[in-house]
Amino acid sequence: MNSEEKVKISMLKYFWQASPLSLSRNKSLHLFLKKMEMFKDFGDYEIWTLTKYMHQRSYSHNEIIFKEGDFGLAFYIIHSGSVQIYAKKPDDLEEGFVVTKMTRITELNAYDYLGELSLIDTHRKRTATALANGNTVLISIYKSDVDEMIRRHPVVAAKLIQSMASVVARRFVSVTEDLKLAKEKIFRLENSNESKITP
Amino acid sequence: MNQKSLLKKNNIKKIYFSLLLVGIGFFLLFFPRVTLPLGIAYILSLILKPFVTLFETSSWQKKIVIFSVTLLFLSFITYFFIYALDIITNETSNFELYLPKLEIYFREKYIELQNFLLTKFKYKLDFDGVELIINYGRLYLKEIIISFPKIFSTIFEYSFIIPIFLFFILKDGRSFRKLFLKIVPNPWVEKFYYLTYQFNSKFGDYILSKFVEATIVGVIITFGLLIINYPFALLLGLLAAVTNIFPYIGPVLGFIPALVIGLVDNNPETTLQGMVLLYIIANAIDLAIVFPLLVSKIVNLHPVMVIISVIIGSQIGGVIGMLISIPLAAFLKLLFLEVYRELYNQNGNNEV
Repeated sequence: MNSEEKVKISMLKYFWQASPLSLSRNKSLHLFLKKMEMFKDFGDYEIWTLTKYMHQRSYSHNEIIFKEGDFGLAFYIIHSGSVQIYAKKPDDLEEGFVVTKMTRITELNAYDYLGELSLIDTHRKRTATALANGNTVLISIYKSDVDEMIRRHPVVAAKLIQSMASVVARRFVSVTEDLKLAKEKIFRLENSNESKITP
Repeated sequence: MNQKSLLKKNNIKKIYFSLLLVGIGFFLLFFPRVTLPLGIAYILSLILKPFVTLFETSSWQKKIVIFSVTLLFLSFITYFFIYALDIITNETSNFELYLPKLEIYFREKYIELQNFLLTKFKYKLDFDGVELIINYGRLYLKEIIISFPKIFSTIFEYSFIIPIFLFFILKDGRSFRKLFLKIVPNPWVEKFYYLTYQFNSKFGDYILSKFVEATIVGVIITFGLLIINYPFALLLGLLAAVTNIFPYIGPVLGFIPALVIGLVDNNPETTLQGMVLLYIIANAIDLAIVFPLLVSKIVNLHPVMVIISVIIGSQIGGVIGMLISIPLAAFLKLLFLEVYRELYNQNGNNEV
């Protein structure tokens, strides 16, 4: 922060909310975000700026957050409650009808996040369905907010996109590792099959 | 909560929200005394927003910046009312002196035409079109003069209300949007937020670029006319700037009064060729540089669609309708594409 930025009422409000004496400190969005690994490089002022672009939304048990095949326009952080992630299984034929079955992939809890690619790329289809498990509060940030942030607060926007990029990179590395292991398994299986066939 | 009751709850929310939107629409339609200043304040906020953003990103206090911008705008309006309006009123009253000259000019030309037709084609023109046009013009002018006190009282009322609306739109616009978003049903929230943002940014960019374009054309014509010592330079410059908001026909509409003045005026100092050249240069700069750089990138519409939307806009909302018809048509195109994409799932890439 440079010397020109002296005292701001909203900044004082932030310090008041972040004060250990304040009763609302546990509910403070700033403190919540500060605890997240994703925002570890963000300064207090940057997190405070980021919160201005965030929205809190409540979901009831079993309520759909987004559906597989929808166009993703928002990124969500789980504030409280949990979210179940489902994906469609390949279509089965049951009594002559095509039946799409859902498989539960994972369960996400507080401080987890979902839909990060929506902030980087618009009109990308969601590949899974997210369902609220119990009463769930989510913090959302929309692609439009990021576009506006790029114009108004480019430093904060750059840091956010950088965080998103590192999340995506980590996921990419993990997928690559899984793929490598799967390929090794297939290779070993193929070899064992071949040795069984040719005595 | 089971699936059935959840679905019912979500449907109730959707109906409630749709009714609220319809209610807001009706309120705005039936209370034009609120809608008009609110709409003007909204359009002005779109013009001033980039300046607020420019200072807000530095350490300046948002409220002070918005207050200063609004104050600056108010000072400009006051200056306009005191100084520029005085000049324009003088020019307009001088223009009234031109009306008899205009009448004589048209009568002379009409007699010339009558003689020409009689000698060349042996056809006698009986229909007195000039008398009809002049009578219609007189009636129209009378109506304008009668409605002057009403127009001025409305402008006076708006000059107080619009700055207040403008200040709060600039100051609390984001909070209002955030608050409104809370009542949007969960299944609609992503799309609704995206579309409203797109509408706002398309509309804002268009209004700002049109404002800049009109100012450039107005300034070039005013200064050009002043240099060549043409009468009513400020009035004609202002007229050229205002008519510039209408696509295709705007430059012609702005040029006609200047041409009429040039034809009627017997002053040997009035250079008609210079004026024509000036209008051609100003519109060439607009068409070749300003329009492609500023406006065309924002409005990606077919020329036929532009003309149709302007006609519909003028029929529904007059001058303001004409101004907002193009960005509204661009937004409707976006909305149509979104619905189409939603229905046919086109152009989507899978999220990894």
